[in-house]
This record gives sequence, C-alpha cells and structure tokens, in this order.
Amino acid sequence: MRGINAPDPNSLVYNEDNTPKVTFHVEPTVPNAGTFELDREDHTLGNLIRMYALKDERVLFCGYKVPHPLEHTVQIKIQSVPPTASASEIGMYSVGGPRAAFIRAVASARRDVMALESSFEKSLNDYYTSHHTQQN
Amino acid sequence: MGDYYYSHGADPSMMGAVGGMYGATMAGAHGGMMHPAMPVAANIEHPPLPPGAKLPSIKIVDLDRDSISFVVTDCDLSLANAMRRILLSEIPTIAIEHVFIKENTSTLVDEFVAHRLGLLPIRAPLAMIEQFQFSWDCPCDTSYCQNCAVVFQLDMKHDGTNGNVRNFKISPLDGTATNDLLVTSADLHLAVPTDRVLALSSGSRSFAEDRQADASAAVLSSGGAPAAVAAAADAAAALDTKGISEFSRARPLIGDVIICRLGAHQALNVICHARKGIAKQHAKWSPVTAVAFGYDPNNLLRHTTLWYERDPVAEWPRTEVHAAARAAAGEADLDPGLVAAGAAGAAAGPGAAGQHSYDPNAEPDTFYFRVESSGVMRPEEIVQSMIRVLRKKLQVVHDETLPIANASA
Repeated sequence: MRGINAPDPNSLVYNEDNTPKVTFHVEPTVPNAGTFELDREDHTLGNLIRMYALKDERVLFCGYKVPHPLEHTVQIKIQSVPPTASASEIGMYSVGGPRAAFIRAVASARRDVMALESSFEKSLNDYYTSHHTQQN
Repeated sequence: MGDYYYSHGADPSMMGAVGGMYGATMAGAHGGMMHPAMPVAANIEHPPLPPGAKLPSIKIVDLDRDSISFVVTDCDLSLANAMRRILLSEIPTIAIEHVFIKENTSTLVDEFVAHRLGLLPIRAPLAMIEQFQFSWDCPCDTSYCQNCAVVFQLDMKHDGTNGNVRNFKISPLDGTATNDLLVTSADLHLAVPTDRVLALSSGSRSFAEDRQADASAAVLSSGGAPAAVAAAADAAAALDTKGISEFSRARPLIGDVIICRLGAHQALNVICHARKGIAKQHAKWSPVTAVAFGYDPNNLLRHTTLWYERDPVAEWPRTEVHAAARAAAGEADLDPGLVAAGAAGAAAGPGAAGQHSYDPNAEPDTFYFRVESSGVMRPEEIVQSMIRVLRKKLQVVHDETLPIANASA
C-alpha cells in the first residue's frame, strides 16, 4: 500500500535482481581512471573508501556520489598513477592503477576495522575485569 | 542491577565463528605484511600501515545496562562516521514483520494491531541474530522456517474462557464483564519450537530475566526435533556446569506493553512471524535509541563557532564522554589552558588563533561515542555487531573487487 514512486524498503538490502555488488567502468577520457559502482551501499562505504583512497599517495583523485536517492548505489571515481608492475611481481596492494588503488583503500579500511574489533574485545574484557564487583 | 553483568571471559566459540566466517578469503595472496595485532582471522593479508600511522583503537569508558560510552582514537573521521551510521541503521535485530489475523473483534482495526505488534521490542542475543537468516537469504523452500522466522501466537478472549480468567469480573446485574482486558506483550508466546534458536543462543550471555524463560524451555523443546532437543539439553547441561543456567531466545523484551484492550466477549487471535531485519528497512529493527557522536570538545580545530553571551565555556555543555574519559584516566575534568584556547577559538570563530597555535591542517582523530540501547540487545553487543557489520561490508566489496583487480593485471 505504499506510494507509486516509493521503492520497496527491503530493496535497500535485498538484491532481487542479482546485480553484481561491484562494477567497474574505465573512464575513457582520463588516463588511469575509472568508476566503481557499489550496489546497495551508501555514504557509509562511499565516504570511507574515498578517504582511505585519498590517504594513498598513488591516488591522484577520488570522489564519490550517490546518483539518486531512490537508487541504492554509490559511485566512486578514482584516478591513480600509472601501473608500475604486475601484481604477481610486487604484490597486489603495491600495484598502480585505479583498480589496485581501490582495493588497497578497501583493504586498508578493513585492516583498521579489524584492529577496532580486537581492540574492542580487549577493552570489553578489561572493563569486565576491572568492574568485577558488578558481575553476576 | 548487579545481576546483569555476566562474568565475561574469553569466548572461544564466538571468536571461532568470526574467524571461520571471514577467514577463508584471499587464498594465494601475494606479499605484504601481516599486522601483528590481528588475532581475528589472522590469515587475511593487510596493506602495510603508512609510516607514522597507528591502528585505531577503542576504549570503553562506561558500560551499564542501557548504554555504553567509548572513545575511539587514531581514527579517521570517515571511519568514525561510518561507525555512527551503521549503529543507527544497519545492525540486524529481530522484529515482528508478518501478522496473520485469525480473529480480531477488538475495537482496533487489523492494520492497527499489526502495526503495534511490529513495534514491540523483541530481545534476542547477538549470537542468535548472527546465525539467524534474513528471509531473502534463507534457502528454505517454504515461506518461512525456524532459521529465518520466530513464530509467536497470541490468543486472548475476554469472556473468562480459553484458559484466561484474568481480571474477568461479571456484573451482577446483566452478566457481562464490567472491566476491560489488557492484552499485553506478555500474552505473546512462542508458537513453534525453534530448536535452532535455543541451541544457538545457549552459548551467549544474557540478562538474568532470561532465566525466567527456563521453565517454559522444556515445554518448547518437547515439540522440537529429537536431535535438536538433545542438543539444547546438552547445551543447557554444559551451561549448568558453568553455573549459568539460561536459555536466552527471541522473546518480547518487556511484558507490559499494551497491544490492545478487549471489552466483554471481544477476542484477538493472531500469529506473528518475527524476522531479521535492519533499521534501513524500518525503524522497528533499530536496537539503539540514541547515538551520541562528537570530537574535538575544545573546538581546537575550529570546526564550529559557539554562540554565547558572556563565556562559552560556562554556557556550553561539556562532552560527557570526554569528561568521563578524563576522569577515568585520573585527569582533571577540565584542562583550563586547553579550554581557554578552545573558548578563545570559539569566540573568535573559525581560523582564529587562541593561546594554542591553530593548525589549519589538523584533523580530528579522537571520537567520543555514547550508544543507548533500546533494550533488544545489550549495548556492548550492539557495538560488537556494528564492527562486524562494517567489516563484513568491506570484506564483501573487497572480495567482489578481486576479480576486477586481477583481470587488469
């Protein structure tokens, strides 16, 4: 019984059409640049990946946008220095090029989130230990 | 609430589940350094940390039944903001989604009753929610199963029958009921034994009131599959040896939420399917009532201008978590010099220099959070869930990008 224009709220999370999570389009007019489109993601990941990419000195440009409020997708445009060597030679996170720069940003964010995870577990244990009088 | 805290030790079952969920990625990864502080899923390769950079960390400042305060340090604003956004909108919880009305002769229309049922807070432990399936992810052939739905039933009739004689007073004049019957969340009962729910939740910590459900657990299990009953019994026995006698499971958080009021001979008979969801779909799935988020309490970064009459330090409230963190560290609540600098900055506005030199390139790296739980999850569970959701998001994007990145090489 929702309005004609309003999309199903479940479509925010539920991928009915099996659209791929990540798609990549090469920017034809700009060297070493392209746009990643993340399906069913929003500013949470868009801004996070953008900021991690911008910390990378091999990234020349990175920006993101949510093209339309009713389309649950985020586009991240990224330009990097030219690729230097292949992944098999110097490691995936060391290659140049927009794809490697993007995955490097994602992996760096994941590294920090995992650090937060173990840090929180430790802090929680410390808290329980130091507040043992309140334990059951 | 002294009995709320569970004696928290290492929880190998939980850690194992986490490692197993994400550990099998990036097989055959290339060179690069493994960071030492990564006990969880340690076989994941990480990009090297830039020189001089530090890994972010969390310190809990305060934790009670309803809320948690913590400080995140060495963290980028974008990461802190992602945490805030996920706390608000993407923590999975359980709420009633489908209501099948068998009989409704109350004065409320069906949609009204269904809406009220949907908003009931349903408590479920994090371990159960994590194993529970979203309805669209569940491989079950039927429209629901015990892995993706918790089924509640409510059958109330205000005529003294139906095993329900509560508050039924008959007028001596005409034989009708003289009072109304309040139908509350306490009248909602688990309809289908969800053995998986019982078994899964057995390893989790829970509120003391979860134990009240123990009495009915045996009844519930008796209808379940034998293996599952045995598993649940084993789990209960294992817990008993540790002195933790509990079966926590999805159930209404509080028993006195009024769903409707029945007059004489009115009835409400419904079946409810509670589903896993996130607050992006509907706010009823949100486990938080408030998320306080702040940084730079002294406004040294000049990100804002504080309006004031005489003295901004006296007139503006302090950041509570910041003050608590300083107190916990044995420091004075207020650092006069720092505050003066901040006050001067606040007075002069962005770009002005106080007593401390103003660095226009400085970035916030310390963030103060306070998360208030609605009660459906414990506050520390909410934060744990938030971090896992964020990590899973990044993991999925990372894994889906790998083929693209490899194709280019």
